[in-house]
Amino acid sequence: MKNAHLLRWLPRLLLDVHQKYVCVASRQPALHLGIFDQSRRCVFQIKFFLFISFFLLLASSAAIAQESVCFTCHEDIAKDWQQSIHSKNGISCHNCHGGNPKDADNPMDPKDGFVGKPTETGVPEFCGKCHAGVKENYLKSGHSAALIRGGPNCVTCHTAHKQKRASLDLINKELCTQCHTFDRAEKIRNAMLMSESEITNLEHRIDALHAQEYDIDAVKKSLFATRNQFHRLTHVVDVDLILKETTGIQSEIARLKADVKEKEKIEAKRKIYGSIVIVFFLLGALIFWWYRNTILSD
Amino acid sequence: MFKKIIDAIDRRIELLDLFRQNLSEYPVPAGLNIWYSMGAVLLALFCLEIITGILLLMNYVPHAKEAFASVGYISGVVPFGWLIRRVHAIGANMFVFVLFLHMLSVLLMGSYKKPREMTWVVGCVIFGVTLTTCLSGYLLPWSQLSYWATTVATNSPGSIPVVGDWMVQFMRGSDLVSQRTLGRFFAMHVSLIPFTLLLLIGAHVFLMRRTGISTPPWSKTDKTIPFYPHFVVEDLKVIYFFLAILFAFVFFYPQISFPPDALVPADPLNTPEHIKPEWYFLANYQLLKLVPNEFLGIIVQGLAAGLIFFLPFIDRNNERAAWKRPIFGPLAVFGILAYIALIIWGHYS
Amino acid sequence: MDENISRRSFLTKLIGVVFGATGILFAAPVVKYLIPKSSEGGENIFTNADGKPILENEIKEGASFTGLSRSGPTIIIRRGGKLRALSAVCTHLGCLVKWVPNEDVFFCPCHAGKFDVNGANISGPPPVPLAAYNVETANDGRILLS
Repeated sequence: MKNAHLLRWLPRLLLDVHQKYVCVASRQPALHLGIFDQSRRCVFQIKFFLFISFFLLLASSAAIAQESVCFTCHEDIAKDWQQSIHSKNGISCHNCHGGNPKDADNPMDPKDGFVGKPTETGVPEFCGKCHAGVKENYLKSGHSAALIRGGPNCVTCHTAHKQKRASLDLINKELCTQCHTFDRAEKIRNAMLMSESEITNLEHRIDALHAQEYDIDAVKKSLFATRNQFHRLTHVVDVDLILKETTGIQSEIARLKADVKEKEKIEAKRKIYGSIVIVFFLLGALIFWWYRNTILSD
Repeated sequence: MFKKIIDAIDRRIELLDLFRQNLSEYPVPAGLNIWYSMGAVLLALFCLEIITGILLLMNYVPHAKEAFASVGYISGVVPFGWLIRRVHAIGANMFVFVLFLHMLSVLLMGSYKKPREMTWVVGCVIFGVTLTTCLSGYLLPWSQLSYWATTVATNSPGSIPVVGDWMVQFMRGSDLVSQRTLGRFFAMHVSLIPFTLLLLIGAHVFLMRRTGISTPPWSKTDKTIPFYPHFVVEDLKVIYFFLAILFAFVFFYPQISFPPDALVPADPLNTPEHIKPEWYFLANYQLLKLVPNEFLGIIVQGLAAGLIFFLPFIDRNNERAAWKRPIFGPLAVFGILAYIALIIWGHYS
Repeated sequence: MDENISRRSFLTKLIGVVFGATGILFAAPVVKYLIPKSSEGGENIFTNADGKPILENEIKEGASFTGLSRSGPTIIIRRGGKLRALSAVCTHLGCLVKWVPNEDVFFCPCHAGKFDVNGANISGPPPVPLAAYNVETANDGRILLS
């Protein structure tokens, strides 16, 4: 039971689902990466209750991460990662650090592309493997120029393993004043404030429309692209640049906003017609009731 | 002129006679209450399901690669597709709910007793077929919700000894829920089941007419009222009331049928969290979780279903009102409360 | 009693209204759901059967291509470097014509009707010429008809 600690991370509900339906999982070789394909029958095993906890661990850990080998040793890092946006999007240890997460004996073999922990100055390159646009902009920044003198790299603000979905909260007094005064940072923050809050607001509204099954895929994609473009830009940490590019971003936001607004208008209309329909049926019921009483009294 | 044509036709086929016999001069007991209209509500909802189902069928593609997108197309692009789809899905939920009410009132008012045993038995079959319809229809949108709920639901027979695995495979048409499962569920949902249901409903109504409508156990009056128009307006009143509730959900709380997992296409390699069956399967689901052995759980459910099915033959007491019967009454109430408790427990666990 | 009768006839009428409104309420969405969508505005692009635009350079000299435009099946031939677009629907009974390069005619396989390069009906049963369309080429090579 070497990965008993896994149990603690698991959302209670997931456990519940697995509890009785562990057998479902055991018929899903893909979920278990072939770990126990052989256990096709678990119900009539003699020591069912002893086994079930074992199945549970394997099943749940396999469902949450696609591997468990890294977690056996790097427990703390795994806990951090669990909270991250990477975890939510299914980006796991080996996607950044390389290696073979299924090889319990030798997971950190450089032959399997294992790169381990980057150096302080190597971090931008490391993250930039995926976040190429951000890296490009970061390299133009004062932050980057100061890197060799201990300036900030990606993880200084975003943390190494529990990266949250980027938001304006990252530009805060506590973080920035570790190296310099907050006034320049605050200017940048203020310059971003309007566009950022508008993007966040649009995201919520799009989600609400999505829940009502509106066809908003295109809008969602455009907004995601706009947001990325905007966030990428901020890594140059140049107020003038942000202000200059804001016009373009704003016009794109305005376009998307109009799109969303149109759909919201349709939704509002539906609600009005819906109310009329409901009232009509209630009235109908009332009229039938009235009619019945009239003919019964005859 | 118009009347002349009608008269001429009627002299030949005597349809109006049929109308008089079966509707306007068909007497029903005067003491009937609102619970006697549930059948009519069910009939109306059944028609609604058939019509919306046919409309959905025009744009739905029963293929694992295209089903989700075609449903999205119906809701997002086709004019009023969203309305048709919501009415179909939420209407099905309402059908099950009203079916529960219908059966409960029959149970508590002892209407299943002699001479109406056959009506009860056919009704129980209708109930079973309805749940099969719901289960098969649930898979069709091919969302994460439908995929995993179906995986879990089709998995339970697996714990039956000897034939269990084979049954699971037979239901799914393959080892896992796949295109083959979708194919058979689709065929069942749109062709086999509606016709079966139609036949069963026909039999149910036929039996009801042969035996006559029961009266509430407390009703003393021997008076009757004509079915048309008196009882028809009574039925219409209740139907319109339930339609109002249906549309309240359709317009203001569609999430009841479409939670977030229903908006994500099925991914056979990724089980979402919080997968729960629909509310009408929650009690069974919770019971399966509570009973330590899954096969035992299935046996308990089978026994319960058998008990309900054969109720008229087990319970042959002449007293009909549940509340005047010291053993049956508390037992029935306990059963109902336990069922509701299991649903709530299942929902929150 | 009189009052009761008049109330009853009023209620009967009211119920007629309720039924009528219910009918409209249910029928309107169904009709809207069923009415075919009118072809969208914008450009009338020549495409293959799957709706994929055919590019101008895909039709070689002397060759023909049968595809779809907003007016239905359309045949385009290239002669002397220029594209010529005609309705591919035979004016006789609606079969699709084929381009026969050797004879320089459009030939309908159903009843052996023939049209010349300009679409004029020259032999067989077709009563009128094929409709001809103007051809423009967009910058990206798509073929626009009008």
